[in-house]
Amino acid sequence: MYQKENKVSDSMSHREEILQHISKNPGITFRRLSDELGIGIGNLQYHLYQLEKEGMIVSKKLGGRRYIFPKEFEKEYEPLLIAISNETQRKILLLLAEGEMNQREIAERLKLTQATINYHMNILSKLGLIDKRKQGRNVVYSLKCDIEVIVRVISEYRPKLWDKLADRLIDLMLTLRGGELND
Amino acid sequence: MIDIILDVAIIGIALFLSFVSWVAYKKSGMKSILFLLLAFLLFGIKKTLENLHIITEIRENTLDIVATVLELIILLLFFIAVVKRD
Repeated sequence: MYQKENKVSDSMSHREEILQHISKNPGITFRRLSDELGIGIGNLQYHLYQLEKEGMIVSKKLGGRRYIFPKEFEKEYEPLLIAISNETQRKILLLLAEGEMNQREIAERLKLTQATINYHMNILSKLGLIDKRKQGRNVVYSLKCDIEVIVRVISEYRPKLWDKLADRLIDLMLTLRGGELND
Repeated sequence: MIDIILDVAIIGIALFLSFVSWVAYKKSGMKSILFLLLAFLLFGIKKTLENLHIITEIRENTLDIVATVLELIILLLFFIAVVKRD
C-alpha cells in the first residue's frame, strides 16, 4: 500500500517537473525534452499523453519533430508552426528578431523582390505573428510574439528536401510575376 | 538501352517535380502552381507514351500526333502558370 502511494507521488512529481520545463521552454521538441530531463522515451511519452489529456499542454508534429507548448500558447502555436514551415517566412522572422525593419530592408537582406516579401509579410500579418506601424513614409515591422520561442522553434526545424524546393518554387513564381501580386 | 534509362530518369524527375509542385500548391494555394503541376505531370505522361512501343504494338504515327498535342498543352500550361494572377 505504502509502495503504491510512493509510486503515484513519484509519477506526479515527474509530471510536474516535465510541465515546469515545458513552461520555461515553450516550443521545446520531444527529443530535447527527453535529453534535458534525462527521462526515457516511453516514460516521457506516457506523461506527455496524460498532460495533453488534462489540457495542460498542446503539441504538434512538424517536419518529423514534435513541438510541445504549455496551454497558454494554445492560440499562438499553430500560426507559428504554419509560418516556420516556409523558408522565407522563417528567414523574415529571424531578421525581425534582430530588430524592426521595413519591407525594402528585408528584401535587400534576403535578396528577394519586394513583391515576394510583401506576399510573405501579408501571410505573417494574417497569422498574427508580426506588428506593423507607420514611421514617416515607411511601414516598419516587428515581432508580435516571444523572440526566444521563435528562435528555439526555428533552430529545431529541419525541412524535408521537397519542402525546401516547394518554398523556392513559390518564391520563383512570385518573383516571375513581380509587382502584379499583392497578396 | 541508354535511351530507355534516360527516359526512365526523365519520367522520374517529372514525377518528382509534380510532387514538389503539389507540396508548393498545398502550402501557398497559388493556382498558377497547379498549372505547373499539370505541365510536369503531362510531361511524364508524354515520355511514358513515347516508350509504349516497347511493351505493346502501337502505330508510331498515332503516337507522334498525341505526343505533339501533349507538347503544345505543356507549353500552354507553362505560359498560363507564368501569366496567371491568383
